[in-house]
Amino acid sequence: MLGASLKRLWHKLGSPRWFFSLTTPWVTFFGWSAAILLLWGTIWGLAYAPADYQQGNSFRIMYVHVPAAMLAQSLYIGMGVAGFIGLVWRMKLTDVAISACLPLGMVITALALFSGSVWGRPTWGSWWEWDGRTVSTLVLFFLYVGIYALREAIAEAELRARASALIAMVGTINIPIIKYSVEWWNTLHQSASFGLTQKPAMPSEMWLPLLVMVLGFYCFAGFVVLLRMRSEILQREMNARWVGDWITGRGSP
Amino acid sequence: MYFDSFAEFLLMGKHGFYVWMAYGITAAVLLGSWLSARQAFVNAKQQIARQIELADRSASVTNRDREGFDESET
Repeated sequence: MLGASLKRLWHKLGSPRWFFSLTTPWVTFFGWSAAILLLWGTIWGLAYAPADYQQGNSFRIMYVHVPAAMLAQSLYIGMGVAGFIGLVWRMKLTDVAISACLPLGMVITALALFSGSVWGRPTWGSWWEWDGRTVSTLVLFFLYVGIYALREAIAEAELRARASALIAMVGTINIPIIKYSVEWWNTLHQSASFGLTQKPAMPSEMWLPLLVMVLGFYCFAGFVVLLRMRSEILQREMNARWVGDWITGRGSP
Repeated sequence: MYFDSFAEFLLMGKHGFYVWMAYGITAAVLLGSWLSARQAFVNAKQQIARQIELADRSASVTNRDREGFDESET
């Protein structure tokens, strides 16, 4: 019983039309949540959190650097999982998801590298260090760029979907390398002081704004990825009746 | 507020340049990602609307031709 209904849900999940109508309210929800959380977290982190006793005010870069770096990896994991599902179950939607995560993941990884560099200058005394974590994050950036270039180069849709799914999946090997880089190579990058599993290694006045910013970044990602997935669905289903009816206002998806 | 004055807030100790650069680029990246995703959605909708309009027009032209042909025949 449960198995059969789960299977039905699984197949429904693969239907672009069902996904489109399901996510209509989600876009608004994530968009507004992101706006409120990011504004709140930025003001809190910039103006109200106390300065770090060692790093002074430069530590405030953490409130954009840490969420950007977390999101950069999460979006890649999302692409890897979508790639795996796409290769195994041949769902249409997974390639839509990969194409939607890709541009955001790429610029967010660049942002993580850039904000890290700007934080590194006053803290380490250098814009760039060949440190385990910075290098593995640079590799993550190149993986995003590689998949993006690959998708631009392959015109045949089926091949494009399979090739990018495979690289997305294989590339997830880099994620644990990024995570453990600070422990394996004892270099400049500080180890994590904020995570889901343990108590943060800083006072709550410092980590609460970070929590708000992390949530804000994730809501923002949900908003942008859903918006891009919906555009992609419209493009791909252009000739479907429900799309025409929705555009001309004759029906709902 | 942690700072004593607005000027001190802007200075961020001696790290104002770095802090504001990081936040400025972050704002630009988030804003750019949002606007480009929104533009993609608007473009997709416009493209489909145009395609439907073209299809409707060619359908009505075909109908008119057919009517004209029918009239001349009778």
